[in-house]
Amino acid sequence: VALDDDLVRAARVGDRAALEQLLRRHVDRVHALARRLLGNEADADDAAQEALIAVVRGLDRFDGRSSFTTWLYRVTTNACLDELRRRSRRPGPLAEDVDHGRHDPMLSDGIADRAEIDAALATLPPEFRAAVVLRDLCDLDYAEIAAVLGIPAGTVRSRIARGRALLARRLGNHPDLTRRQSDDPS
Amino acid sequence: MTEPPDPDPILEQASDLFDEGRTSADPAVEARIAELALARALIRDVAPPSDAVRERLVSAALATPHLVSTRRPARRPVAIGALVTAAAAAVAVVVVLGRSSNPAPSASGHRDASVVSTAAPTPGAARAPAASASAGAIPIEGPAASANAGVTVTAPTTASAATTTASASSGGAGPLATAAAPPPAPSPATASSPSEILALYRALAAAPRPTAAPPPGTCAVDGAFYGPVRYGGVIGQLWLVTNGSGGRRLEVLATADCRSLGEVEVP
Repeated sequence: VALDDDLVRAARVGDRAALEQLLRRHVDRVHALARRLLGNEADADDAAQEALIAVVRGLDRFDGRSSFTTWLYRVTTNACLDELRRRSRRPGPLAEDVDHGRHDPMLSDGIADRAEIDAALATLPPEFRAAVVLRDLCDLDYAEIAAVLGIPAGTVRSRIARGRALLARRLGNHPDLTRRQSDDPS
Repeated sequence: MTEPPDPDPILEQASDLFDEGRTSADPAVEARIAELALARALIRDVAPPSDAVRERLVSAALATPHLVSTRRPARRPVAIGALVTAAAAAVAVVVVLGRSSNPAPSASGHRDASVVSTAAPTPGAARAPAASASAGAIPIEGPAASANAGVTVTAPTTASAATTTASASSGGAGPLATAAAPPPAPSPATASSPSEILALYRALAAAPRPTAAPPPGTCAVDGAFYGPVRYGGVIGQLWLVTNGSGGRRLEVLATADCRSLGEVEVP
């Protein structure tokens, strides 16, 4: 299996097959990040496309100081934050209007959970949401998240902790969480 | 959108321990860690894109003209002596025009990519009028790019006594030359940021096109010269690429090996 760096090198000198392999390897990752940051499929599709195009166009500027994946997350996060900024300038449903789906018997637990986490994440300011999602979805460490977001590592830690606090509050009546809390002797 | 609560000591401790993969003897902290684990599980439970969406995403990206792959083969340095020109500059600033046809805007909203068309340098005059340019907010190519502002560049007034300065640099430049009277080799202007590249270009663009042909040592990229530039401490050449939709990109290529030193969109 070719390493990302090898594929990047080949793609940079015009190897289309390498570029395609690189894109296919990471498209789900890009889409997942966009999905969690934006909260709906349509915006995630758009942002993922923007991000992948930006990757192709910016491949020559990837300097290898970070891993390709970290750089990819950076491009994708920026595409999503751009989309969020665009969205904030146009009328749309408020986060509070999102159907949590928690009690809809027609929804499977999995779908309900997904709707619920979307609604909970939507309550976080974008910069807090990005920090939490980059940590919990993408497994980036604080230093990597700091590089992606262009903020100090200490700020990353703070945003993650505070973002998680809000998330926990929003998810407080999730069935699993409620059960855990009722079992908690404290 | 809700402003996150002030830090909760227990949750902060739980968050740190959770990220470190550790547990706590404190039941309250441990309960918080369990909450964080559940939230993480929910965050990770993302449905993958459908096959159709996946194909569309990859296809759109692959359809993006690849700037590097079309341009890089032309970046080999031209053999010394292959080009005969009165401008004996060891390096030169070059402006290149190119084209592209991105199917969709990139995340940064730009659509340019590949080098296609060229603009041959026009015979230059020996004199370049004074010019100055200030760079405002500049959309810089690439993720999380930040724009610099307020750079002012003054173009040279004559080829023989040319000095081009950027406010944040210390270099001078004499990019202009004529076939009749070779000027002394110009020293490169200095730029340290994309905005300074842009400001330098604007100053030079206000002057007549500098040379009739690229001087020896110029990267073999189609386009027109403007003058030498030192970017990040490396002697290079400035190029302008225009895409199919009219967008233009400035590039600085290292004179030694023609690798890209920096790029910036021209607003």
